[in-house]
Amino acid sequence: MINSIYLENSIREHPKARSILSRFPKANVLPCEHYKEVFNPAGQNFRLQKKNPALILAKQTGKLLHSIPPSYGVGGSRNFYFSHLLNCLYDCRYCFLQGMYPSAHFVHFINSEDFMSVIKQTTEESEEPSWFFSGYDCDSLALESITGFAGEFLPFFSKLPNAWLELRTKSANLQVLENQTPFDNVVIAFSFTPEEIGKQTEWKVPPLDSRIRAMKKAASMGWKVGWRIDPVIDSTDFKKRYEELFDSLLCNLPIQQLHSVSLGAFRMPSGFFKKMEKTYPSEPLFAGKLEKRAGMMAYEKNLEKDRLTTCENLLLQRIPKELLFSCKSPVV
Amino acid sequence: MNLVVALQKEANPIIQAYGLDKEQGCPLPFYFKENRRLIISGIGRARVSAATAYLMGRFPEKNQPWLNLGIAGHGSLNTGQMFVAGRIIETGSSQCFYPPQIITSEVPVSELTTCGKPQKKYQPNMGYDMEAHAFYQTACLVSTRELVQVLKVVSDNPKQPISQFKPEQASKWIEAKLPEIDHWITELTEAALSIKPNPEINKLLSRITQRGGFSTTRSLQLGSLLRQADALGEDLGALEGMLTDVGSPKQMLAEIEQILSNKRTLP
Repeated sequence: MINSIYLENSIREHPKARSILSRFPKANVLPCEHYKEVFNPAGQNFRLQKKNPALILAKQTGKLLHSIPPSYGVGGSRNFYFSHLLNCLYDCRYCFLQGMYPSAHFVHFINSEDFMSVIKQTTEESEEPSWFFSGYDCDSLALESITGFAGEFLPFFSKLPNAWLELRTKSANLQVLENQTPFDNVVIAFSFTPEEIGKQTEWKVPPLDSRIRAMKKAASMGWKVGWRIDPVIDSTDFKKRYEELFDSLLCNLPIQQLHSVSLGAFRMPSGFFKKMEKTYPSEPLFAGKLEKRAGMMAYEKNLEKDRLTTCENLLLQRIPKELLFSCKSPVV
Repeated sequence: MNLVVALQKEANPIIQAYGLDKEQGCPLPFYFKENRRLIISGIGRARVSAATAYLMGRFPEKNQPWLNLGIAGHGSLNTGQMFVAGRIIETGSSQCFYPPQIITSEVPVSELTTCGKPQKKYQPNMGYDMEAHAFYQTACLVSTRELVQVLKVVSDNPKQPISQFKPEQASKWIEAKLPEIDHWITELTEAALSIKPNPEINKLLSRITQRGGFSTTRSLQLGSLLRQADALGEDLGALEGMLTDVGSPKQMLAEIEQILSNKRTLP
């Protein structure tokens, strides 16, 4: 799966780097001074790299925690995201990462001790609970076998009761959750789109039914579970498809085990969209009923409103209002 | 596929294997057949830059595959073994390149230092040549980095230093690696094709705008609509037929927009 590994010189002797390298004895290992030398140069093709991405092992020396956009939370008032990993195992055509990053290589920041330190410090700054979202720049669990991220951070958060962790994922492999006693301040947030839409836009992603089974299993183990219906993608039979999706989710998860549901339309900065359109010129999704508003590409205003309202109504027929959170686009 | 090779002896097995024909009257030895081109640059940074730029000028299409092929010294690999450059540095330069490795292959990936003169001292796991850095820097001006690669066959190492190297061996070593070289050429060519936009779009755009009356803005809008039409599975030939009698550019854009409007929703 990983044929090439780039290793920052400063972490050559780091035990975690050595442990990861030992799991890929056949990989070609190349040194670099800083991950950005490999990851950032212009003139790379995300689509070609996605066929065989390399792993870059690095130390995050920049900002470790970032504020999330207002309205993107799920109930907390202090919200942050952090990234142990840049890029994703999966290949979803709607994903903004394709437009944001110049490279499809996986960058794994191995200095978890530094992330933990700043998370602890930030949590202790306030009596208000702090939320930490780990799946903004990657899937939180898809590369667990390489990163060991959740295996390391779940025990850490279990001892920080005033800090909440969201693990956002499309993975169906939840072995790491089986190895840990469930605790309250973590939400396993599963991203879903209706099956017919997923088949057209989500590549290398486990089938919907296996992800629903994984969600059911996580809940049965005692973990709090979230649904992330984001991005909402327009399609024919829109209402029917989303209704079927919500029914099958609810069928497999007693409502009392549902922590939160977030809903957001397909949207992204127009610069990202432009790059994605250039990378995948034959992608029908990008020729959809989209428009540019206030620097963002999104569905036409009325269409977006209609699709979000439809989903909201369908959800509110099934879940309590207080569980639903709308990720409002900054688009006017 | 553009192959840039320093020496005639390195190029001969490739020329023979692909049946390339020599073009007369070129400033540098140049061989070709269909879309395969090979230029012999001569040794060193300046010569390889010039040869690469010459090919770029003659065949300006973007995102073609480029391969620098030749012999090199190496601190660890055996003579006759081939490697692909995964990190290219140059003596006296801080600029470093990391050709992204998208081709699945058994060929080992190695660091490579481009030097101003042949190297007599070898570091472990390091290759030495005299062209790759300049080649990569130049070819990446017109092609995405994944499609620009450097393949080298080891000619000398600490056990068999360059003083023992006989130039006629270069052909033999390259010849022995022809199946692997062919694999790289095939894979890089396929990768380039996979990201090549549908050429029919630009041809149609050109035919329509030649009718006249298209401002720069309208031409760009038309190009965008034609790309969307293609993405939505519209038959471009049929679309052109539908536009035959449409008058002004403004009307034409509106007409295409109308044709596409019912197809813009994902099935």
